[in-house]
Amino acid sequence: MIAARGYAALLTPLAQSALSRDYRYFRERQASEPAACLYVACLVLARSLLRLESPAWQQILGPERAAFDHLNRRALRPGDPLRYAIQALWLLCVRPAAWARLSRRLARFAAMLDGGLRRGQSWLAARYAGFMDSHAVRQATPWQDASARAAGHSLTVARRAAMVAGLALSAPLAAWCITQPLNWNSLFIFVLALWCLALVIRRLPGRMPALMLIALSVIVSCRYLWWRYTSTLHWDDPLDAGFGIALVVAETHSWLVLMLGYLQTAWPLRREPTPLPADTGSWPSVDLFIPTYNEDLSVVAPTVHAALNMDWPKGKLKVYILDDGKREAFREFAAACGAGYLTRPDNRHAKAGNLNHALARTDGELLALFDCDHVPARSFLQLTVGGFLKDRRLALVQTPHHFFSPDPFERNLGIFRSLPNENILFYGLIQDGNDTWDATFFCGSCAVLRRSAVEEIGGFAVETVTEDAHTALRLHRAGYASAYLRIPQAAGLATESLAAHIGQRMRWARGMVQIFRRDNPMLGKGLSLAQRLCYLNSTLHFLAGVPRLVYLLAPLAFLLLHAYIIYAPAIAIALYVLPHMALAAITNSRLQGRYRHSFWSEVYETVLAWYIAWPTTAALIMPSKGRFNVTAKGGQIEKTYFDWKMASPYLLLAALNCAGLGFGFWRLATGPADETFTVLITMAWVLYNLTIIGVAIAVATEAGQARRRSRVATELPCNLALRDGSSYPAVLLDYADDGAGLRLPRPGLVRQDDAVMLTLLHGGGEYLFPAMVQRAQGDAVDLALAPMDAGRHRDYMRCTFGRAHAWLDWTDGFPEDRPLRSFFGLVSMCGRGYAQLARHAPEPAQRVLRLTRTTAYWVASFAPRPIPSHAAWVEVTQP
Amino acid sequence: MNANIMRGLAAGLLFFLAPLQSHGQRGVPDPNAPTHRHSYTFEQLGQPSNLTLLGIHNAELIEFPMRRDRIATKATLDLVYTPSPALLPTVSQLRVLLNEELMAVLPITADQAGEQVRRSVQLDARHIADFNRLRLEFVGHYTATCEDLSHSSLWLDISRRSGLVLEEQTLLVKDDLAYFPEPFFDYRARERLSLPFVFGSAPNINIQKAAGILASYFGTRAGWRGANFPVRFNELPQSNAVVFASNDQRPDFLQGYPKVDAPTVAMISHPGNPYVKLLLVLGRDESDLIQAALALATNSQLLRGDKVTIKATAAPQARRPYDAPNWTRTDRPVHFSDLQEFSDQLQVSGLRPRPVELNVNLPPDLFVWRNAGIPLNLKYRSTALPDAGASRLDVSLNAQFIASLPLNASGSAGEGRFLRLALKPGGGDPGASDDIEIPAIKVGARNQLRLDFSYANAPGTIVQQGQCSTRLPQSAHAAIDGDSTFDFSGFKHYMALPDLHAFGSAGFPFSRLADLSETMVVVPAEANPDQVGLLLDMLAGIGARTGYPATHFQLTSDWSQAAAADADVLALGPMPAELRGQPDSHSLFDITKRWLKQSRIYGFMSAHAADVPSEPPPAMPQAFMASAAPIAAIVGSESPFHAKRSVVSLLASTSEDYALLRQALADPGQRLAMKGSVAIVRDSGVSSDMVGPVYYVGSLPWWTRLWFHMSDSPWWPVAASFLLMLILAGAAWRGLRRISQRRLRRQPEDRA
Repeated sequence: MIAARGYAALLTPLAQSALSRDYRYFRERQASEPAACLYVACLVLARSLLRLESPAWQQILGPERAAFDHLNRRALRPGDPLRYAIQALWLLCVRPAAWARLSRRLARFAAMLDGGLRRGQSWLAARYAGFMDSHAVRQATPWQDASARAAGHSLTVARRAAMVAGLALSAPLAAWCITQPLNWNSLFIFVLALWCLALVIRRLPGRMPALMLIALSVIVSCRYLWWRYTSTLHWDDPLDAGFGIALVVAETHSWLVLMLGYLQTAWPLRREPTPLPADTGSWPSVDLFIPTYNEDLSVVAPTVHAALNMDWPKGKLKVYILDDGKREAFREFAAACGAGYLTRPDNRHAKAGNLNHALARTDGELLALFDCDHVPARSFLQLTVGGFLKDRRLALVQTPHHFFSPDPFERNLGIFRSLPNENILFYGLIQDGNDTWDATFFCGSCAVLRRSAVEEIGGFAVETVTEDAHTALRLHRAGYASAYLRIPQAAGLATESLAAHIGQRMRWARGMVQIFRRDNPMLGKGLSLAQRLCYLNSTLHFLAGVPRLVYLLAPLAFLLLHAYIIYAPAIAIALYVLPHMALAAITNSRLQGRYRHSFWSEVYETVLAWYIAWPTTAALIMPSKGRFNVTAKGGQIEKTYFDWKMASPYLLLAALNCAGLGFGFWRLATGPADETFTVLITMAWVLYNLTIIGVAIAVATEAGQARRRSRVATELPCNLALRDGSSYPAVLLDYADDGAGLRLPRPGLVRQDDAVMLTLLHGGGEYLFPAMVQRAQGDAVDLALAPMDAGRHRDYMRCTFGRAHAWLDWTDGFPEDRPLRSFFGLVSMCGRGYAQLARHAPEPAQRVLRLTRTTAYWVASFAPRPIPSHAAWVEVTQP
Repeated sequence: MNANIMRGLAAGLLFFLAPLQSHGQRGVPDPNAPTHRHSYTFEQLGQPSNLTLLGIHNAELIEFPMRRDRIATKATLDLVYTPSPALLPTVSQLRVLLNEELMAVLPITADQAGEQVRRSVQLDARHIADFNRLRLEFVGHYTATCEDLSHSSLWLDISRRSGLVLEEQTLLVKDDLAYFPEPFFDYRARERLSLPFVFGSAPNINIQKAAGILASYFGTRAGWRGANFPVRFNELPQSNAVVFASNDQRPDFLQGYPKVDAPTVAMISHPGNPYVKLLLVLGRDESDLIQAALALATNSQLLRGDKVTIKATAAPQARRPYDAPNWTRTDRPVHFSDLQEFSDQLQVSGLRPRPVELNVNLPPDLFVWRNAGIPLNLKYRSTALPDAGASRLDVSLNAQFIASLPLNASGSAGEGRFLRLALKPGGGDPGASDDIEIPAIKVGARNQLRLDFSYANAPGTIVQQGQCSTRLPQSAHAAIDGDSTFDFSGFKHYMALPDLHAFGSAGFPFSRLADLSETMVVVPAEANPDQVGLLLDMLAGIGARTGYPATHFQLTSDWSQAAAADADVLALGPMPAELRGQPDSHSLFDITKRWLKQSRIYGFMSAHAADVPSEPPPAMPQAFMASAAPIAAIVGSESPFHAKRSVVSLLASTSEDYALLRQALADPGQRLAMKGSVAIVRDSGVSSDMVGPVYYVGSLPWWTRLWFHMSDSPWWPVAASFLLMLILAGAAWRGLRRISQRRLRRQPEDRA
């Protein structure tokens, strides 16, 4: 300071005042005295060397100084001169105005292109509307005219000949399209042309474009597989050959699943309920089984009540609790509410044995099956039984399983009711598609079976741990038909934790593979080819564990061990792999987008991969091993925790992939130049793997639940009567077995712990339920219902869970699938996964992670920032 | 006159030296015999760079041959060398040995250190035999004690400009055909063979054919040296020559020779000069001449005496395609022993052994599209040397490094090493892009595989705690096993033509059958020496490429015959006059095509006079503009007579044109410049162009052909995919709708 004063004495008063102003400025920003002097000196140096008053500089250092806001608005830090310098240099070099202009132009061009595309599409759609849609509009096109004219006759000879000729032509054409090798330029054009075609077709409505997309995807994927088998295996080197074969086998599995998946989902049947005859006397008698083993009575009771509530002629419906737990409380409960109670001395063959035992002791024409937590709607039988009367060979009607509580994915990723869950694809699309091929199979619950058919095949199959699918397979083999009614008529509880979820899937996987081994759908009598393929895909789907692990580890074979797993130039890999994946993604997005968003299948597979890899392999080798496990439901996770045990495989995979990434950088730095592109592609693959694994890790963070019972969202009119006798119309927002949420017409009507009476309306009647106000916030009120006796409980079920329309909105309200958006959603979830991992990591690891984060932030603080958009940026025009 | 004086002088000198030469190895020189003086630099003797002699590599060999009909009378070695300045004088020496006889010791004196030294060494000519090895051995010392043999200051550099001057005298050779093809061709000679062919008058087709067979035979013998055949009509050259004479058509100087009554081959001396020999190919008529030529070309090992009458010639077996002796086999794996060109080729010795080099020539039409490379199974062994840790065998291909294989302690590589070599289309392929040059075997080119043993440990002196111990260099031997294999089998033959590169470098497509049995050569009706010479040179050139004489080619001057035969056509003819001034590839190609078509019409005219359009016969101008600079052209195109057959036309008009063309065909550099479909030869060199349509020869399975031809046309697969998509989706839509209706048992109208 003294030295500064000394120098200041040499300066003019004007300069002196400027210096002291600068000095004060730096001091205000908490710089120490020597540091402030240093900054002033730097400033003087800068002013004397640079023409800071020039327009270019003024633009950067302009009055708003928005470009430096992030530095100006906080206390000075030691590295700040460097940060200012970097920011200034960046602004000088990048010239944001030019960037903005470029991006504006690009946007305009893209909009133009998009507009043209859309106009073309709407033109096409208008012109060929009939052709594009399955609901054929007559006399839309000449083609349609022809079909209309021919409709009167059956297939004419000419049309049949044309069709045969077309198909005969298609076989060599397909063989050629698949096998034709192309040089890089041609391949690029080919790929680009098909991709553009797919992008156009994707937006056209109707089933025809979906089939066209499937055809394109099949062509491109078959090309890919052909190329993989003929051009990319390196037999000379055992290491390359070993890893290469492992990968190609995994890819063949995925290809097969993709192709069979197209077969399954190409044409969902959209069956509608068959009406019952008016004469209720002709309606068949039904035995409704509710098997239970160790579930709490509070889980089973609602189901029994709802089952008893079902609309069906008196005496023709008998409800049985099949208790393998042999619990006295259940017997008493059954007696109290009028349900049957069956138990047996041994527990052989688990659920299948339980059902068979009950089968021998009952006599209804039809069997309805519900898992003990699946609360049926009262309309269930009326909707499902019609088909049995119409079709003598119909042995099974399956309805969707719907869950009103979040599964571990929904809960732990926070996507409940905002994205389609895992089940929806299967029950919304695959079973529906299976129905087209008469291959819908039994899923253990929410289904009606014909007793005579089940008895004919010797009861429920006991040889595997998935008795449901196996029983359906046998029914099909015996020549019976199945039907799928895509209307949820029951709702249940999803698995309560990731561990339970994985346990359940392990059972399914093991069971399906057991079926594959012991009663292979491709072999044996009685099935059509399509049925065989549909069953095959259902079993193959569960063999995805090992292939998925191969995908997660394959890039490491190159990055760590330098094995050429795909022995081809990087450009070829890009030109074959990307279109194969892109077209499969576009097609699946089109087919499944409403039921599963893009890339989520990978997440589900990855979460399961490790756990089902061994059971499926073991079942493939020894199909007789493996026990039935009961899926735990109805529990509550009270506190958020990280499931280290379940997550450990993903952590290992993540660590390996991180190591692979490190090796990738090392290879980039030291490897030969001609390998750079290959390394980059492989690293991109590793990053993709890390993203998916990150989501898997995020799922392993068990999020705590505030409530014991999941609430079902709804919007129903109701009344709330207060103790003082006043009654207000209200809206029921959500409900559970033991509580409800309401919206009152205005706030402040009730207080906490007020005793109230909730009136629900149903079928013209009013039902009253005493309750206690648990929480009142504004106009929202949370009620705890008082304990109910059996009759009142049945009434409550009738008004809530048992409503016929309770679940009809199950596939609504999800945003449209956009593959890229879906992927970025996954990226952010993956980020959360790793962040949660860091938060729950043990202390030493925490410290490392914190240090890493601090370092990363510190390094990032030097990076230049774009100017905030509110800052006016005037471009300097050259005179 | 000057030469005569010199000759006399030399003869006198030789006479004087005669006693010394009396026990020479090759008979007595005749003082009157003609003498020759040759000087070769080391570069010409096959040493492209300077020789550097080191402590551990202290000798180099220079090899030179001597023709059998010559004797060396004097040999002088002019050495230009630079010794290392570190060498100790007197104890350091350069020793010169000829065929392991010490000829001279050149001590390195103090004033020579680091300076270039020129020394002339007289070699004892009596020790010069057929094949001679000149050994230059370096004895170098740089210190009196504790010397390291591998010390870097121990060197001596011998310039490649050092030379050898040989004075040779022609020997009188007995007329004995047992030595055939000597003295007309001596494989010891290093220079191009130039052998005049003499005819009585302008030879007719059959005589030309006989001459062609024999020229082709000499071509196979001459090989890389090249051969040319000056043609004389009724004129005796002053050098060894071949004379074709039937009983009624003889050159004047043979009129006195007795008539023959069978195909006969004889060897006589030049009427005026006993040192010049003439090979007489005689017969009653022209077919006898062909018989005689065939006998010489295929059965020369049976000849003996000065005159041989050919009773009956067993026709040589027809060749199968691609079995030319000089081409690497593509029908089964090739053992290295099959590629061996001389004994000891696969074996080397010394601490710095020479590389093992193998040549691989592949037929130019090998279809190598999208190949995975060819397997090379390499077996080798070498002396086990101590500390051989980093000793290795370097493999390179066409001077590009491929791999380094370790030599383990026992020196061998166990059961062999497996490598995969890339295989690429040759330079003649218009579609081949060479932007990324990876080491690869090129089809249609001469490929050289080079295997270089190098040893890591150098013997020398190890100084340890003041003690020094010298390790003597051990002799080391290494060998590549003859059982090592290449495998070129499994490739199809398919190629885009016209491709003059294939013609220039391999005589393709004519050489597909090594005996040219599917080749039709068309020459103008009137023979002149230039064009007969071109024919002979060209046949000899193809023979040199294939290694087999053209015993079965057809020769005609009648285009109708050429049009009728299912054969590739090699046409020699005058160049269209209108193009001589302004050569243009396109018009040259077009006019040549028209010429071929018109030739056919012309040829057919006699047979189908009524069908001939009123077009005039081709204007084949025989009159040339004398003032124009010489120009010639080679044009390749598809035959207008038969699909998948080729026509290569060699066009030249004047004598200078022919000379130019023959020179271009003889020069490997100019042959490389021939590409595409039209090559124009001028004084400035060869310029090539690709004009006209492309056609394909060879056969491929139809699917491979489809893949190959469609591989660079993306729109067809796009269109096919689109069509396929429509068919599949349409069929699926109809089928699925039907199935779903059946499942639902309803009509579509009922569906909401």
